[in-house]
Amino acid sequence: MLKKRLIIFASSFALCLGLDLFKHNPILVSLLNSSVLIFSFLFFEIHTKSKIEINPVFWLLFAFIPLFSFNPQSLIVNILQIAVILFLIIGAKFPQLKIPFFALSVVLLIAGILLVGKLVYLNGSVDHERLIFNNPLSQIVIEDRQKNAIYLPFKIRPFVYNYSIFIYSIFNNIFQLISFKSIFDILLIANVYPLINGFIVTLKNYKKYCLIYLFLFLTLLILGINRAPDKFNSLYFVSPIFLYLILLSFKNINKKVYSALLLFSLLMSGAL
Amino acid sequence: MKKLTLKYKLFIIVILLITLITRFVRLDFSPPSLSNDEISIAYDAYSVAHTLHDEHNHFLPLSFQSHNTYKAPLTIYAAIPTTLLLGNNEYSVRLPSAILGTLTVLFLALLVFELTQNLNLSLISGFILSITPWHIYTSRMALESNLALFFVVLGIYCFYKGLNLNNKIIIVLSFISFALSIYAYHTEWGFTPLIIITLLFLNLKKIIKKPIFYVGLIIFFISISPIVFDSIKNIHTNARANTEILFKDPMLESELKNPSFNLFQKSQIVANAVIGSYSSYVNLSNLFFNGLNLLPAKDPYQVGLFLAPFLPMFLIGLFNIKKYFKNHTKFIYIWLIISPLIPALTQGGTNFVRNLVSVIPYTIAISIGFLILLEFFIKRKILGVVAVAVLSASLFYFGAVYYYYFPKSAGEGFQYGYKNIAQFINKHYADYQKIVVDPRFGDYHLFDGVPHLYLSYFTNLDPKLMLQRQETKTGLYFDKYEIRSINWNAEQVNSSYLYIVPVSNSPQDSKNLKMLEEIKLPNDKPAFKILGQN
Repeated sequence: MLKKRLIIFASSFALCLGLDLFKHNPILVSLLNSSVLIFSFLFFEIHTKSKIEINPVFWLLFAFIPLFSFNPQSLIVNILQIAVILFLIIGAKFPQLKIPFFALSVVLLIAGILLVGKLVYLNGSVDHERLIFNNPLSQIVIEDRQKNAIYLPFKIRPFVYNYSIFIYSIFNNIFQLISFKSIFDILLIANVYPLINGFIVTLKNYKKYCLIYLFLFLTLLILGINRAPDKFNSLYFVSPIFLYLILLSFKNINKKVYSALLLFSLLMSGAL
Repeated sequence: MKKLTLKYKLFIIVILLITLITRFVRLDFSPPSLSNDEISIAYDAYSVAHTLHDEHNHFLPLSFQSHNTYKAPLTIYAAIPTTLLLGNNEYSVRLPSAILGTLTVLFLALLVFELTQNLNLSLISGFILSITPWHIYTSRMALESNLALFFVVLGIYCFYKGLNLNNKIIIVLSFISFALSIYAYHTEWGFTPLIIITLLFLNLKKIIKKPIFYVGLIIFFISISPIVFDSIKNIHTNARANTEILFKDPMLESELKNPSFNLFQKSQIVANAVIGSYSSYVNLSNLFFNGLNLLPAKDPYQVGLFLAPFLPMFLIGLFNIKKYFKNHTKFIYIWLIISPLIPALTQGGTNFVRNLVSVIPYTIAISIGFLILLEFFIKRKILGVVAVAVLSASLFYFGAVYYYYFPKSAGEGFQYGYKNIAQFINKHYADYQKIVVDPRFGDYHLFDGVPHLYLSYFTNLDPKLMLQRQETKTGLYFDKYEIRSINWNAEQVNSSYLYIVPVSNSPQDSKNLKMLEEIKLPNDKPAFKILGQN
C-alpha cells in the first residue's frame, strides 16, 4: 500500500515537473511547483485525517491543473508559496503548533499575493496606482455626484455618494475575475465540478474549514483591491486550497461525467 | 386554492403598483430617445400601417430589413395598433413591450405557483422580477426579446397548466405561444425548440399517451412554417444568423481562415471562443454589478442586470431549488443552463438583450434565496433591518441611475436630438425648398445615424414618399430631404435650403448661413445645429 502511494506521489511529481519543463519554466520553478502539488496532497491527508483514495489515473491527472505549471516570474513568490503550504502542513500535523504556524502561513499568503499582484514590492514600497481606491475616475464621479445630485438635499449627498462605493467596486472586481472561463483556465473545466461540490461539503461543517475560508477570503479581498488583477497571479497562492476542495468531494462525484469533462478540458487546453 | 388573506392582497397590490410605475411612467423620458433599433421598428410599423409595405418597400414582410441586419416581425406588427391609436411617438412604439413586460411578471408568478404550489414563493418571484433592473430596462423599450420572453413564459405556464388540468385548449395555447416567440426574436429560434424538447422529455411519461401534445407540436410546426420558409428562401441575403453568428467575429474569422492552424486547433479555437462567450454571459459581475451599462464605462455606480444584494440570494437559491421545485428541479436547472447558449453563439460581446430569456431562471433562484433569507431574518430582527436597508439603498441607487444619470449620459448613443429637429421642421417645413441633413453625429461626427427614419417618423411624413426614395452613393433623397454628408468646402450653399449638421461639422466661415437653432443633448452638450438664411 505504502509502495503504491509512493509510486503515485513520485509519478505525480514527475508528471508535473515534466509539464512545467514542457512549458519552458525554469527548472527551479518547475521543482517548486511540483513540490507544491505533492505538499497539497499531504496537507489534505493530514488536515482531513484521511487517505486520498481515488483512481491513480485521476490522481496523476491533477498534475495537468494549469496553476501547478504557472510561472509567476518571481522566485520569491514560488518560495513563499512553498513556505505557506509547508507551514500549513506543520500546523495540521502538530496541533500544539497550529496557531503560530497557521498564522504564519496567513501572513505569508498576504505578503505573497500582494507581491505577485505587484501591489507591494520587495523593498516594501506600495504601488498606489494599482489600488482600486486610487482610480481617478471614481474620485471625479463621487465629487460630481456630491455636487450635482439635485434630487437630494445638499447635506445628505455626502452620506449617499462617498468612498463606500469602493466596497461595491471590490465585489465587482472579484466577481469579474472569478468567472467560469477563469476557473476553466486555471483549474480545467472538469475540476469546477468537484470544486463546487467540495465547497458545498465544507458548508455542512463550516467550523472545521475556517482556515480554508480565511485563505479564500483574503485572496479574494486582495485581488478585489487590485485595479488590474490577473487570474493566474491572484489565484496562484490558493492552488493547494483549490486542490483540497476538489479532493474533498472527489469520492462522491459522478466519475463518468468527470472523465468526459476531463477529456474535453485536456483537449481544449491543448494538453493532449 | 385557499382564499387570499389581507397580507397577500396588499403584497399583490404593491407588486402591481411597482410593476406599473416602473414599466409605464415617462416612457418618453428614459431611455432618452428612441434607439437605432426602436426607430426602425417604429418607422416600419408606421409604414406598414399606412402602405402595407415596410421602409424597404417589402409587402407585409416576415423579416424586416434594418441597419445591415434583419428583424423578427412580431414587435413591428404589435406596434401597428398603438401607432394607429396614439400617433407617432415614443409611447406608441414602446407600449406593447411595457404591456407584455407587465404581463410577464404576472405569468412568472403564476408559473412558479403552478410548479411549486407555494404562494409565498410565487409572489416573491413576481416582486423580484418587478424590481429587476434588467427587466425594467427591456420592458421600457421596444425590444423584440422582451416580447419573446413573454411568449416563452406564457408557453411554459400553459404547458404545465394544461398538463395538470388535462385541458386541451390550454395545451394548444402553449404551443401557439411558443410559435409566437419564434416570430418575436431570433434568440428564440434556438431557445424555444430546446425548451420544448426539454419540456417534452422531462414529462414524457405523462404526455406520451396524450394525442393533444402531438397536435400541439403539429400546430407549432405549421405556425412557424411561414417564417421558416421565408428564411430559407432568403438564406443568402437576409438570415440574421448570417450576420450575427460568432464565426463572423472578425478576430475569430481571421483565425479560422489562418492556414497555419489545423482542423483540431481550429476546433479548439472555436470551443474556447464559445466557452469564453458563455462564461461572460454567466459572469456574476455582469449579472449583479455592472452588466446593464447604463453609465459610461468604469463609472463606479454602474448597475448590474440584477440588484447587487440579490447575489447572495441567488447563490443560496441556486442550491435550494430542489427544496421548492421538487419534481421540476431539473427543468429549472436546464432552463438556467441552456438560456445563454444561443446568445453565446453570437458575436459582438455580451449582449443582455439577446440573453433576456435567462432573466426568468435567475429570478426564480433569487426568489428562493429571498424566501430562505426572509425566514432567517424574521427570527433576527436587527439583521433583517440591515438587509432591508441594503436592498432599499440598492433600489435607490438604481432609481437614481436609471431616471437621472442614464437619460443625461446616454443621449448621444440614443441619437437624441432628431426628434427636436423634427419639431423644428414641423413648424418651418413650408419655408424651405430642400432640407439637407448630414447623417453623422458625435464629437468628431464619426458615427452614422438614421435621421431619415427619425425625421420621417416624427414629422408624420407620408410613408409613400419614403417608398419613392432614391439611394445613391452620395446619399438618400426623398421628398424635400437630402440625407448626405456635407463638406462645407465643396458645398454650394443655397439660400432656400435648410441645413442640419452635427455641431462638429459646423461651417468654418458663416457661408451666409445663420444658426436658427442649436439642439442640445440632455446633458446640455450641443449636438446639432440647424442652419438657414431665414
